Amino acid sequence: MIIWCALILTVLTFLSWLVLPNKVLRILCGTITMVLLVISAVTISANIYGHWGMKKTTTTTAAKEIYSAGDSSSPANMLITQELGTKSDDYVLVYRDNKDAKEAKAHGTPDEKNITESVKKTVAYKTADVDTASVKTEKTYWKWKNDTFKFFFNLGDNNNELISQKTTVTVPKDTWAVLTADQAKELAKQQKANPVPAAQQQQQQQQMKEAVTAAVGAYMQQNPTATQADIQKFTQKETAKIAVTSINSMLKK
Amino acid sequence: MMHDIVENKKIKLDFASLILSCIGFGLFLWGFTNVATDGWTNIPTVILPIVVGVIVLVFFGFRQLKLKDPFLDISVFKIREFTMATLTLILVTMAMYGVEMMLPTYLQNVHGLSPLNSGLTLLPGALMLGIISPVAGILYNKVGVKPLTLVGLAILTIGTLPFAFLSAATPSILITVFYGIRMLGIAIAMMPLMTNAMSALPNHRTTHGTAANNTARQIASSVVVALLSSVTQNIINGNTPAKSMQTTNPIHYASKLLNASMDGFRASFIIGLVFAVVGIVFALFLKKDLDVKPAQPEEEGGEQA
Repeated sequence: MIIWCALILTVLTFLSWLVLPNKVLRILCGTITMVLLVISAVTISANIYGHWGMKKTTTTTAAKEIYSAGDSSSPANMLITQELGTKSDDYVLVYRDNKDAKEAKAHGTPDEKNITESVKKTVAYKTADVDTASVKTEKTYWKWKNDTFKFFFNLGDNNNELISQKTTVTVPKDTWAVLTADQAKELAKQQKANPVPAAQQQQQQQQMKEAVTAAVGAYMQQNPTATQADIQKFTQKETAKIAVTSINSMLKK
Repeated sequence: MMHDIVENKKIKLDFASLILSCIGFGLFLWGFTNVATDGWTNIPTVILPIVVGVIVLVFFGFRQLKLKDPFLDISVFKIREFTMATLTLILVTMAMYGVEMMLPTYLQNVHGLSPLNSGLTLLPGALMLGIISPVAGILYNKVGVKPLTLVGLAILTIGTLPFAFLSAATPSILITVFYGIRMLGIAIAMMPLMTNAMSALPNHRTTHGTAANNTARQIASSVVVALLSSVTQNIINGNTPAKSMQTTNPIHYASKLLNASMDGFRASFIIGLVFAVVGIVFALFLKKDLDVKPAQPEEEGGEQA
């Protein structure tokens, strides 16, 4: 709006100083229009440079549960990461958004065509002592202070100009394994190159079952009032824990 | 059948002047164009050509003053109104270049516009020049050169102000409108200044006046383009992030590189702003009279003796 005012004031300044015949009227109108023109140029500059007339607002989305990037047949939950650069603390994370999503999606890939926007967005992960994996996003952006400012200075879509966006994925320490893309590839290669013979595989699975049964037994003793659903959840968790421990030990190798 | 307005004279081509001017101007301008690539302190490609060019041009100048029919009549600059109008015109041209030079690069690199779109963004402003010039011509006869130039330069200065604060997120409509406001200012000032410079000369010297005026403008344009590109490049180089950042944090590296370009462009726009302000100061020295017609040829001859 104000840029159109500036344009009109320019024409009026031009006409006042150069076309009006009466000297007094000329000086009066010319000065007023020029002063208004200067004010509009100064306020526009203040807005585009210092965000004058806007205030910072932060919103945080609620935590949303995410699911493993790995095969649904594998009991271990996996999060695959790829750091952008070597010290950036900014990643591309691969995981499933819904439980029944067919494929895991990569989140946080920067838009190379729009660097000014991409640099404001970061995606990171952390491990914690929680039960489920979740993702939440914190956005800070500029918003107009009031409607008058918006009326005058809003051009196109510079309302909601993004200042920074931080997406954090939190995964449970023990039931999720975090692998870099390279590690995941290595692991797959290793498994292909050295397939575990069927007998050994059966033995491993038997061992795992025994471990889980023992843990479930202990759990039922400690929680006699546990329901069937509770027990199932606990079983799943224990299985995941053991699978993750084995993956982590493979990675350390 | 077109009639000659100014009488034609048969003049012999002075070869010495031709050679001196080619070498002098050639070296001088070549030195300035090398500034952007080689820097101001490079002796063989920048300082030497400029200094040698200036020396040759001094000889050229002396020769012109002594010739009966000079190759380039620089004595026109002795006429105060002509010189002031030409100087102010040069400042308007420099103020125009300040933004003109870097704006298309800014639009294409920082905003990511295609060359077509960046041209379209600037089109309304360019059209202004064509539309307003005839209007300025009509007004020149009514109010004279001083009010037109002062108002034009004031509008140019105010219109350039937001450019000094341009950022990567500035909407392009703002650029289009303020570029248009600048061009309106330039259009109001430019044509009257040219006409005023010519009208300060007697008819028989108009051809020399045009040549001198054009030469002065060409030299000034080269100098200002060299100045702007060297300043912009220096600032960009000074703000470019360390190469190591490309591996540690590539997105930040790309963003900082873009910001370095922005700082360079902003410096160029600010220089344009400074020229516009200086232009206003010069315009205050313009003669208030409408269409200054100088003394008759006899008096001119007396002045030269």
